[in-house]
Amino acid sequence: MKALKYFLVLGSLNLCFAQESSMDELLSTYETESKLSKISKIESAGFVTTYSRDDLERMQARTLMDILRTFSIPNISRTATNNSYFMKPSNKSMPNSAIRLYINDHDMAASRFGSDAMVWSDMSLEFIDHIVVYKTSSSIEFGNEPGTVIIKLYTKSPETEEGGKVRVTADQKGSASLSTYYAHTTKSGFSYLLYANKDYIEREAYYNQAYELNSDNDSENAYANFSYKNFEVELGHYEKNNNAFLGMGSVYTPSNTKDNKQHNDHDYIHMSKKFDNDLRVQLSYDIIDVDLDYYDDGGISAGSIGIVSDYVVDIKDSVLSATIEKTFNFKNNRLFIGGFYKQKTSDFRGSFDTNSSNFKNTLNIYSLYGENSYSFSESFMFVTSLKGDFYRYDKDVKSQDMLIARAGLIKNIDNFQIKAFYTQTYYAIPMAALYSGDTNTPLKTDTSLDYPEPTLLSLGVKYKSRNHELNLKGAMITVNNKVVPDPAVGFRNLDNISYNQYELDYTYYIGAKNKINASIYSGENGEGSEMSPKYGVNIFSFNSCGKFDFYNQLLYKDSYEAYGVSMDKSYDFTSSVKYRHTDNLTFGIKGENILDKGLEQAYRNYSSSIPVFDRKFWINMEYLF
Amino acid sequence: MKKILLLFILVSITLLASPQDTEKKIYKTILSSIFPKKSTILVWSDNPQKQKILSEIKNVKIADSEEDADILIINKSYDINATNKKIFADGYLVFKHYKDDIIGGFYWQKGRPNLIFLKKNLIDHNISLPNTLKNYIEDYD
Repeated sequence: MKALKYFLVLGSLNLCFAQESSMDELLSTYETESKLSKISKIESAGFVTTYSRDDLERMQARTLMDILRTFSIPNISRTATNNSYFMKPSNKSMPNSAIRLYINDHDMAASRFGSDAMVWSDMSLEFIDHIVVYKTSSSIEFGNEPGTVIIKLYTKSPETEEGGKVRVTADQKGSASLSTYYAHTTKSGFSYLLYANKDYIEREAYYNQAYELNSDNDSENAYANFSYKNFEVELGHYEKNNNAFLGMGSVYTPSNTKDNKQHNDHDYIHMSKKFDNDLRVQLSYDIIDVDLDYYDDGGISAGSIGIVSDYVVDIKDSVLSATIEKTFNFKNNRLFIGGFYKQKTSDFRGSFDTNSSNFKNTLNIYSLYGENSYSFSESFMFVTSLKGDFYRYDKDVKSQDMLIARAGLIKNIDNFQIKAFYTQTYYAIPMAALYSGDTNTPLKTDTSLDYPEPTLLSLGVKYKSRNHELNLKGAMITVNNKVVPDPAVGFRNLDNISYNQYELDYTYYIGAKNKINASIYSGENGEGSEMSPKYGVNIFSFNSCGKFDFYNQLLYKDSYEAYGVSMDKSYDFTSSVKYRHTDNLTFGIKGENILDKGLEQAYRNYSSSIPVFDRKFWINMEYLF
Repeated sequence: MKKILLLFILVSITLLASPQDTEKKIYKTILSSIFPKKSTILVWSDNPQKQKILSEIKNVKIADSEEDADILIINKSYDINATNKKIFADGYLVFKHYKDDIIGGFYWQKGRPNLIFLKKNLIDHNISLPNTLKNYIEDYD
């Protein structure tokens, strides 16, 4: 609790005695206001949280994970194979395909696993300008595949960068990270942004008997953006080698003599053209390569083959997407219509001891959607959305015709804003859970599964004044056809699964550069089970004083029990200081999970819990040129 | 009404004044410092958005032509005869293009707004800035 007192005192201290000239103040205020004004968020798309460039810089956010770990609902944790996943308070996990990650307008899709958002969760952020997160969304406004958590990353603009940056970071465990970008606009209006990053991340190793549970990883990230007269081409690359941590073994005894790891390589090209009549056309192509190399002395379950010690899989996915969208603006009405075609192919080759399994399937998705926003007055808007998605597999798996429907209102009354939405949506089941060839290897699957269909009723009330912002949010969710594992058949559908979530969030703004935010949240499922913390409290403070920026974050989560292991209450405390030596050179230090009492995760058939995040101390240097 | 609707849908999160209001204050300070004795300053700009902001500043009027103006605030014109005119840059590329003649510039670079006055050119144009802006005077190569 000493840390909490320290945090609250530090967070409330906003006395700054540094003397700035009136022009310095004006420029500082102008910078903050301009950056905030660039963040356009679609209020009708759900509950919205934004992370401005100032926020990201003062948080010293290095990767997307630094942001995801601060989420209230859902919380992030990690799987036994060292991948990330989201879990709503009390619940075990959210389906991967419900989380959609966009870089600008490119959806990080995947064929076999539905969405590649969680693979990209460790991506570096130095080329990202700001982040907008939509929760309890229907995602119609973004076209593309459905999801209820939409994370939109917006890249830095060449027009306002006009120059480059190098950032070097290192931690006490031996991790190192290097990021650099350069942006330029020519006199003819052609502009580009080039970015590259390399990370070597050392993590705490644990031991199960004599077996090392290693979760180090290394990755590289590159991005390029070229634009000229409303035509834009983006190229993205993310490659990650992730050590296997507990691995896939039934008793977690990953071989010490072989290299247990997962390798992901995702490359994409995204082209878009905006026309003067609010028509927009997009074309994109993704190639995703996933290699799973798992070796376990205690054995790994491989579907109908049984238990194997060598589990080696190579998956090659491709995603082709073509989208056309148009917006009509009338006197009181805004109509947005669109359609896309997407082809998702997954080519799987598996080797399990002396057995092998190969299969390939292609999914064709045809989608038509529209949203109408009607304003009865300047303070009252009614929104209706409709989307039809038609899934056609080349073979084996049954076709699915899905509908998303949404209706809602936004009403402003003086300083208050009320938002209420009713949404009927669905999650597409990833190919991995639907289809694994004739032999049901490596997973037992059921090709006749229906897609889960959540119905969401969400209500939010916001109070906003110059210095205060208060948000009360709640959602009631019912899911039909939820997909749950079943040892006999692999997976099966389950009806009438209910879930309620609540959140109260308050921000106190002190001028342009200081703010304190606190939120309390909870979630409960219909079964009354608690497989993850049911309650949580997050507190953040952003403070600036002269050449120094201070950031503090405390993430409290309630105790819980899973797989017979009790986890204590967690206090994930992060604190950082940034010193601007000159306009172009800054130094920073950052302590993550300083108390070493952050969230812990239990795993089936493992006797103790393991921290999700390590205690780390980072130093970093940034140079602008 | 169309604008209201768009504003309503794409609500910016700012709780502060708009950046345009602050930008007006910055330009007001810049222009009154360059022309401390002028009651009305005639400004020409090739940027319609900037024209709107400048036109709302007290004592500033938008000139019909470059010839009539006391100062040119330039964003994208690269073919102006700069030798006899006071020029102020509204963009980094323009600032670099006219750096031998330009008084200074207010533009975005390295992800932040920059305000710079060029010492040699201020002397050439016989301009003496107040102490409050001395920190923004630089020798620029």
